Amino acid sequence: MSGSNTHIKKSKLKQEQLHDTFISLIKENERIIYKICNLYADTQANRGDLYQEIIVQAWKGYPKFRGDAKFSTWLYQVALNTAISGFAKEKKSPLVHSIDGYLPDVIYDNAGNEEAETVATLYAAINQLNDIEKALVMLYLDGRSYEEMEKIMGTSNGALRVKMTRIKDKLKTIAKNN
Amino acid sequence: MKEMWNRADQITTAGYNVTELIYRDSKSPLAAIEKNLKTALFIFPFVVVLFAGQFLSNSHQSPTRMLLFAILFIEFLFSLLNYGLVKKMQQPGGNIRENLLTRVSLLQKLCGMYVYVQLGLYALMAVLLEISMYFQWDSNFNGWAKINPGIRIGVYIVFLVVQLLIKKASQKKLYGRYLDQLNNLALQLE
Repeated sequence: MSGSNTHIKKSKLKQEQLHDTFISLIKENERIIYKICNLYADTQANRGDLYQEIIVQAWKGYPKFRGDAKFSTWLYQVALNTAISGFAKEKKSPLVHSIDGYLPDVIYDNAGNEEAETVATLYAAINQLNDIEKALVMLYLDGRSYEEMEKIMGTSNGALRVKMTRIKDKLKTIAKNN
Repeated sequence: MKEMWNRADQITTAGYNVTELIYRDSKSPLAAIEKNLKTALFIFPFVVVLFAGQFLSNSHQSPTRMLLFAILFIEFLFSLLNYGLVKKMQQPGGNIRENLLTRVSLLQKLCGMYVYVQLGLYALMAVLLEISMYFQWDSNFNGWAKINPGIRIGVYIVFLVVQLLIKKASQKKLYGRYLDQLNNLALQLE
């Protein structure tokens, strides 16, 4: 009886440790989730839903995280898989810098109007890319190496470089048109 | 652009409570399907208890009842399999390509198997019905046995075709858009 109590206590302690480590790792890397939510969800409400979904999925998958890759790499994978191929509710049309000047309502608490507009324009430009291109451009702008991008995307280094060149050309065209 | 991106990174905030969020349920439609399948699994044990009670009270069971029980059991196994597949499909780990291809393959397996296993079950039911009528195991089928065999087979075929169309339409409604979305993403990865 006391053996089973010790076992329960140990597993409870292990669960608490797992929980605390997870929370602190998420807090350290939460910017990754914010950025993915801003890129893949169009409204404040949808961003909240996506954020929650990513956290739920990450928590579910965390016991399987073996630590052979960086936590941030693993979190990029989980968050992108949830945002891109998760069974989401019907997506609205992608956010683009449309004729009526509609811009994504990214939260920019610490910014002035002009800066906020610039950030929204940046997101609007990236949002004209497809889902996979958006992921690549985000990883590139986040300063991830091609080796890490390869691990996250599962695409070869060479193919990634070709894709990035195409994306840069696309973004240049978008910037010119705007 | 990198400069703008870094600036955006610094000024965007959200302020969600992670500690509270991790204990919430997933809101994804796949999670809803998983929940429905799980509920369906709980129904079968009640059927077993019901049949066991009837079997104990009367050891001579009619072939119709046995047939019905067998079909319910196969449906239960099938729901169990579907539940496992839907659960597997929600795994968020692995690289994007691997995860995407796994989801596509599981979904195709689920859709294909669902339709054809169901049809196989109905076809088996028709064959067992014919055998049961041939050996006159159940007097309840005497009326149906008197009908011309050609007409009977025709009815079975029409029934199977209608089932095939209904099942395919319902699968397309349930998973079609998602499968298209995944295939489109796989194309984007090429």
